[in-house]
Amino acid sequence: MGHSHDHAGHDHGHDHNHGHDHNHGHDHSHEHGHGHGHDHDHHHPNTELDAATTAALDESIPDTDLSPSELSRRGLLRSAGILGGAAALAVSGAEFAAATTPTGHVFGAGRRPNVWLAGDHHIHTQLSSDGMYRVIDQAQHAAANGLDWLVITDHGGATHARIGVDLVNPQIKAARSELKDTLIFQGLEWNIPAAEHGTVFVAPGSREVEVLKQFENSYDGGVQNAGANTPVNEQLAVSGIQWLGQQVDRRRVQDAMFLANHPARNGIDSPHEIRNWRDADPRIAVGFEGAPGHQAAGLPAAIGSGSARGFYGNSPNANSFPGYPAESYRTWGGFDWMTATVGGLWDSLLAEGKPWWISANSDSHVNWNETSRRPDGSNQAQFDRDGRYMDPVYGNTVNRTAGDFWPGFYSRTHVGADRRDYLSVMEGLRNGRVWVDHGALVKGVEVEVREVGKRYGEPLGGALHVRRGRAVELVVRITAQNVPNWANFVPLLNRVDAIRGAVTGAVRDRDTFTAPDTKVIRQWDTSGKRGTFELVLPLGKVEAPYYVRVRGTDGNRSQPGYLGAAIDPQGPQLDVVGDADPWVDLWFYTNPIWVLPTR
Amino acid sequence: MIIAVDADSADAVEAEHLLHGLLESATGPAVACTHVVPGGHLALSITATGFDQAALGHEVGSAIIRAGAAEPEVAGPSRLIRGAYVAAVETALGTAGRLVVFPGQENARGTLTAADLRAHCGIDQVEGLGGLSIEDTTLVDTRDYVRPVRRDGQVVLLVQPAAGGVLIPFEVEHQLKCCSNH
Repeated sequence: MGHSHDHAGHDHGHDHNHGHDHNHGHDHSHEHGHGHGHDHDHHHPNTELDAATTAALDESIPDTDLSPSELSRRGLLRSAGILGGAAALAVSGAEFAAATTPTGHVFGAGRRPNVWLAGDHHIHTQLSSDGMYRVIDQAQHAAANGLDWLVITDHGGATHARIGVDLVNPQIKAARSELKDTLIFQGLEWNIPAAEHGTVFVAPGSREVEVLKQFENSYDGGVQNAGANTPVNEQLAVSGIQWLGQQVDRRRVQDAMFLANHPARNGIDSPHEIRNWRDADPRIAVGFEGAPGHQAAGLPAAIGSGSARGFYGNSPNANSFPGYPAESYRTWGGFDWMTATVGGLWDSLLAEGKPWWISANSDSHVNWNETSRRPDGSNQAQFDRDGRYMDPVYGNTVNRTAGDFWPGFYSRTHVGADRRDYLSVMEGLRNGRVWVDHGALVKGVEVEVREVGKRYGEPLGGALHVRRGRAVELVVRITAQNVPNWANFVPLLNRVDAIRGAVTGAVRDRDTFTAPDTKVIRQWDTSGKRGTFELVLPLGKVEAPYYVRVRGTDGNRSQPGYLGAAIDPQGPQLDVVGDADPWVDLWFYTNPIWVLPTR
Repeated sequence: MIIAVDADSADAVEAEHLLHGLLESATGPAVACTHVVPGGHLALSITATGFDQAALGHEVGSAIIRAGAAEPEVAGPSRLIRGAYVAAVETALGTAGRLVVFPGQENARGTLTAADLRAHCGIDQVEGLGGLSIEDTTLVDTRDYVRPVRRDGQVVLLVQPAAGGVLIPFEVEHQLKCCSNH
């Protein structure tokens, strides 16, 4: 295996033989004292390895003698090159994921959140080649705009991997101490090999930079020149997610997470890739952006950039998945087609009975109506040299063609957490205790599915295990907005929709992107409602597994859904290029709750 | 005849540049398309009455279908032959391809009705995104850039809603390169 015991974690000058032998991340810091490969040490003097991992590491035990969970763990270790036999990995990402997919549900026990924390996991700074702000610029605007947590996600790439990932950390630490009540994660925007971008972030700790840097050097599609749509590159993405899970297992970081960003923008996140990411390590790969950032980009040319909302204005390219229709390349009511389509790609994932959550973020690079600018002399060459642009200066200008909003200004991801701390936010995200909104459409959303007559049920992201034949109901508890949003008006929630779909199990074709049974089952007219009110929908007696999710809107723009009026009579409308005012087309979406019958 | 070429073009800009160079060796009214090759690059095809094969270098994969031929003649590096073959067959069958040059394109300028596009611009069908209904009188601002696609033997122009209540082609000339930190 030839491990170099390099604790600095940037020994990435290895011969990257794309084909067979994926020895990624092979410069592990060996805090645990077992050797690898042939001189395997059977005494594991560490106590941090679970039994499955210990057995998986013991190569004297043949595969056939391992339990399914041990075998799956061994697959993970092999894929990361920790075990020998990595040459056996000349399989496609789909084959590997299928062979190591955990069975059953991965749900945490349901508990009502104690606190809702709003945040944004997709924010750029001067450490991005297309960014400009300091960390504190983004963080203090986020805090002022009402966010509790944020993730700094500068683009992965050669310069960032070399120096940017290090340079941003002192800025983040300074912002943490300046803004005591704001949780500021360090992450990066991963160029997912063979696919789009994604947020990768870790819990703060002494090794946050080290782990992110090692990840970026080993698995970033830009750094590794692995952008093309090939099976080898798809497998590299899967390996990257698994590697993150291993860092958590080995306590290098307390937690790590990945969410795919703007998934439908260029058609290059194929359905099977999304499934493979999810199945690579469901603890790490938890979801995608239900709505992309750049929400100001569709403002009309008279006052804005006159582009496509979300900068979703492209058509298929050479790497696009051929099955995606033209409609998938545009936003619908500001949301990504994968999420906006009832019975579409997101629902096809939920109908498998596996968690996959949505978020909504700013993707702030340069904000609409910005009055500052990069200083003279701060150009691409300077960025490449220094790893960052110079600090912005006030510029006697108004940048009307920028397409972004400040974090918290328009898009919010609300996470239900036990406590206001870093690990609780990550756990809330992982558990899907999450709803998202635009323009502060609502003040609060709580959703529960409960057995009729019971006081408590399962909250967002949960699964209600209930005896077959028992009656259950959906309870949507909404607190109407009563304070103005950042466009200085009080938004009106005029309609709420409940969506239901059968859980039909794992798909045979991993490129499936429809869920034929999923449809809108109830529409409530909520116009004029004030304060906190409950919408209750009887779901009948439980016979077979299903899930429900909820969506709401100001009702200004609707059309029959992409899959027809029978599925979604009044879904979000296809956004108009160059004429999509985000403030007059507001939606909230919740994550699902499953209902699973027991005997 | 159909001349298909795979030069491992990474994107439409690269493929169209190559296309225009090759069109100088074609005779008669030409139809020129780009084709997606699985694996992430583009090939192209030209339909013309004649073509000077000396224009094809040794470094490209090519597939040529002559009138009455049973199958394409292929040449070039083996890894590029497949893409050229696919492009030739897609054009021969009219199943796929993105039209870059086609008869009637010179008329597809300014704002036209859907009926005009069908009558004078070589378009068989104008189709709206997201269930938009297209009438004969529906106005389309071509923005002087039209890239229809072939589907089931028809030339289809996809259109989308844009500012000012008009429709514009689904594919716009300048693709957004935002966040292009690759």
